[in-house]
Amino acid sequence: MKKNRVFVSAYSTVSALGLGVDETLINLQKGKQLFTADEDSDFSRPCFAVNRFEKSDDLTKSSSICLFLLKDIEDSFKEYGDIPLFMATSTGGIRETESVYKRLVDKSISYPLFKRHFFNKTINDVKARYPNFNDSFTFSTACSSSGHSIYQAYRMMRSGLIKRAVLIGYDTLSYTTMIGFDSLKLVSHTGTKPLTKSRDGLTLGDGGGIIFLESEPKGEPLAEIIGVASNSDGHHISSPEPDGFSQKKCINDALEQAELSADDIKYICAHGTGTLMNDEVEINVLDSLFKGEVAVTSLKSFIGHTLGASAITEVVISTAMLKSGKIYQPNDFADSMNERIIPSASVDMRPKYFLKNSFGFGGNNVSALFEVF
Amino acid sequence: MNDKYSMIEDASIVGSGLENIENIENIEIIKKYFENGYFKENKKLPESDGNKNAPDLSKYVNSPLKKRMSLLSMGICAALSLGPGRNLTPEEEIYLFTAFAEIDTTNKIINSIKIENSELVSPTLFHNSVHNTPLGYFTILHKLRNYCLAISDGLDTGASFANFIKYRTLMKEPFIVACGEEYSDFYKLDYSQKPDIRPVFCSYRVVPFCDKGFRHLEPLSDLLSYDFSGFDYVFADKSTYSLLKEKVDNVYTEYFLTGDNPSSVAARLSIPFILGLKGKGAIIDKNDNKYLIFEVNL
Repeated sequence: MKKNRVFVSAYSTVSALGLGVDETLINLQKGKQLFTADEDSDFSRPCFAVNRFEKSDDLTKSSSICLFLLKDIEDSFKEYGDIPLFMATSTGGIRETESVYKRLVDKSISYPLFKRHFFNKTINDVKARYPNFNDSFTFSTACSSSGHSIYQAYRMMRSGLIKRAVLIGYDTLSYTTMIGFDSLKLVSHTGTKPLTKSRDGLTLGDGGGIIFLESEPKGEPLAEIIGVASNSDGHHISSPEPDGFSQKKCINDALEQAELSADDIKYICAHGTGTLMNDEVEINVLDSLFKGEVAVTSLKSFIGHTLGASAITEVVISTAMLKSGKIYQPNDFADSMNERIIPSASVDMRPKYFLKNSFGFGGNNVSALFEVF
Repeated sequence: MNDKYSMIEDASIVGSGLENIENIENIEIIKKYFENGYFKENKKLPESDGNKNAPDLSKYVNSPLKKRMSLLSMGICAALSLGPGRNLTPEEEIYLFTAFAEIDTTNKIINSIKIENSELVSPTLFHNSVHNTPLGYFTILHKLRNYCLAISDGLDTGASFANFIKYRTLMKEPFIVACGEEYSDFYKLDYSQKPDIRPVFCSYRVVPFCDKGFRHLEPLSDLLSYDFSGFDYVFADKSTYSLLKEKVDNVYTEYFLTGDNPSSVAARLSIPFILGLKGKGAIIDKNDNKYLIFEVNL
């Protein structure tokens, strides 16, 4: 049976690197880690906040991120109706809930939690402004959430069930995630250094990414999704399986789908959280599978861990970066965990294919392969 | 539109209002509820307070891990283990539909940070607070590597279920559905509404492309002018049940079991299969101003 192809027709991103792809690339090229404090919070650890959205009584920060992303690429999809909307997040409106929580407990204010805390809030805000979307769903598997948007949309489009899809991943900084990860001793106190021997944890970031997928794009597509796989570790609720068996299988399944070998992949955008365990397992897996020339980096060096948004956000930045002909590392990158596969500095290269890994709590793994045009 | 049906197999249900001994006992109780008019007359169970009568489901989880698990995680693991988990294949994907997921755990974390001013929270609470926690525990308990995904849209989770199932049943591979909510004090903080959220957990296998079973129909905007004469029965949420009660024969609701759970349509869809109702039925769920509808043909 003939399978439909799945092209990326448009994309955008929001992160500490900037709003939109152009600004993101400009800041990426500077090679600096733009740690930015959250202007509404007093987090005791470094973070990559995005403070550029106007505060609104109506919109949560999550909704503001999503509406910016949609606005940025609306010319590409606005003529179509009935586009399925694949949302992904892990935090939703938690940030705003935290800001009113004490007053809610004190009963000094009224706040519609059922309408604003849960994930329906952002979908409703989007649908109120964009009648293009009818069917919608929000996927939430912690840090791999938006990897599942790619997995599900890819399968539905490959099998011809849908011809177009808009995928959005978003997450915002919150005390719950900041203090929660810190309680697991997973937050860096000095600023994240993924894929280095001196790594001491992750740094959280605000973020979002959007991709518009089409089976038959009118214009020149940016990239194509050529294989996606997902599985579970069945090992531990928050730590990866030490031998990386399921991660290996996930990557191999994606390669098999794409009818590629490991030698065909020259760039890997690692999940690369900067925690001791994640990076150790992932780099061991990648080192054992990819024996040829390959460059592995973690974009979390630049934007932090954007949790449920990370897969799509990093797919967008990876694609834009590869199209620009360069793979970026922070200027002060040093002490690589594995000098064979992790470049010590930015490198000029424009590989045809790249792999994106996305791993989450519950041993939830997604690996996706892209061809960049 | 798919003109093929999807069969529901190996359905299980545990939680409030059931004996929770073995699934077969729970199914028998549901059949007795049906015979005794609970579905038809929207009777209330005597112990129908989800908070006060949180069921003890720990007996279903034969692992020290149960000390760490929330009621939601235990309920979903129990429903999966007693139902389709018994003969799960490695290829079967598992989908959890839950409106609020581990909100009680999240509420405890926010309370700790914002009310008790804690600078650290319980690590167990934090890694239990994500939406796929119940599925994570299920795969850990049974050492599984199956694909798992949680789908959650708060009050609109019923619509997300209908939307997603519409597409997923067009793929031929069987898959597993689990659904459920748990009670939380978090709900009390919204003074604008008081939904009755009930700790009931359901799971089943969906086998697409069958001659009998269920299929998705286009949502209705005008329910009262819809011709229900071709249906032998209708199962609906409480408000739709009230609307149709005088108009349609054999209209039922499982409200006494699932309450106002936004994911209850996922459980409702399995009831005709659990009861073995012959003939053609409709499963309806109100979402915003639309009525989501499935046809069941057994």
